[in-house]
Amino acid sequence: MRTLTCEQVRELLPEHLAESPDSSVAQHLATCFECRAEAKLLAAVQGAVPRVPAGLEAKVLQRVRLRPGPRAWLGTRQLALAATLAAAVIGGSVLLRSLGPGQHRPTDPPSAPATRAGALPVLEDPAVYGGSVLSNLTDTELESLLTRMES
Amino acid sequence: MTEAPDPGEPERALLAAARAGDRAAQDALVRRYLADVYRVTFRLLGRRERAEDATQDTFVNALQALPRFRGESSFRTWLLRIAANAARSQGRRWTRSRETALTEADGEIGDPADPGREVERREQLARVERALALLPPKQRLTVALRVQQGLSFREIAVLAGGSEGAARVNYHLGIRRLRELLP
Ligand SMILES: [Zn+2]
Repeated sequence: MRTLTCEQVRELLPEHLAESPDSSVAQHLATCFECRAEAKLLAAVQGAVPRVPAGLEAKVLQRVRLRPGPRAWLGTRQLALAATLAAAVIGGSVLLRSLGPGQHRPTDPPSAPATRAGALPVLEDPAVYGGSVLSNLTDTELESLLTRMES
Repeated sequence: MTEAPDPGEPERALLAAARAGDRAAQDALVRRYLADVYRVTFRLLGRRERAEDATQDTFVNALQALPRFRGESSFRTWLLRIAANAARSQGRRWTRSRETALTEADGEIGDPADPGREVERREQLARVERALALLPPKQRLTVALRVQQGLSFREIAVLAGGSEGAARVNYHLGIRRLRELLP
């Protein structure tokens, strides 16, 4: 077992407390009052994680279904090709693992996703899709956003 | 938590399928990252309804922009940055109403089976929320992302647009202050 410094322990605490307990960290905590105090604090902060509201998943899935289709710049041919390629890869086990039970059949024939993708409209709302929405959030912007929201 | 992030990267094939318009793959991405996105928007907006709206916007925007995701950061970091931007847009929409952000206790947290424990939990939650609200914004966001969502300092730097060193400093200052506020 490694011997860790206080600094190393504090770096590892969030993961130690959340999902992967580390025996070296545990050993340090048993003997170090200061790190134990920090662990207690972090545990309290972790315990105050907001729970996802019931029904939000359904709302998001519905919104996502209503949204305009993929970008127009992907021509129908490329789109179909990409879908076929993806379907070929996915034909294996990837989606089986990613999707819970009761989801769409993961074993659709390769042509199915292409058909779905091809049928999607190419309209797009500039207000939703404006470049600014996806532009980088700089330090200054984040700061001013947070400041504004607090005032 | 059902799917422990690995650390959080969806398979390339899943992304490719979602990009190509495969609805099942898109739904899988939504399910996988819903909690992450909601927590970031809630942390930025402080109100459940607004965070819900921003969460919806995030996934709409992200699925639109997916063809432009180049894997320069992790998918999760990329998505959470979009979430931060969606929260910013929501914030603009709401600024005029002059509501106080970041103090609303989360009405969804609860264990109805055990009312005593539930009261205790709510009090503890309120204490932590009050303390977090007293931190300067960057310290609060950094602490929340690191402690509650397990992001690395590097990921936080990408998400918040600063340096890794700055994220580290904000974290340590925030923790020090929290230790004074929550003895
Ligand atoms: Zn120590």
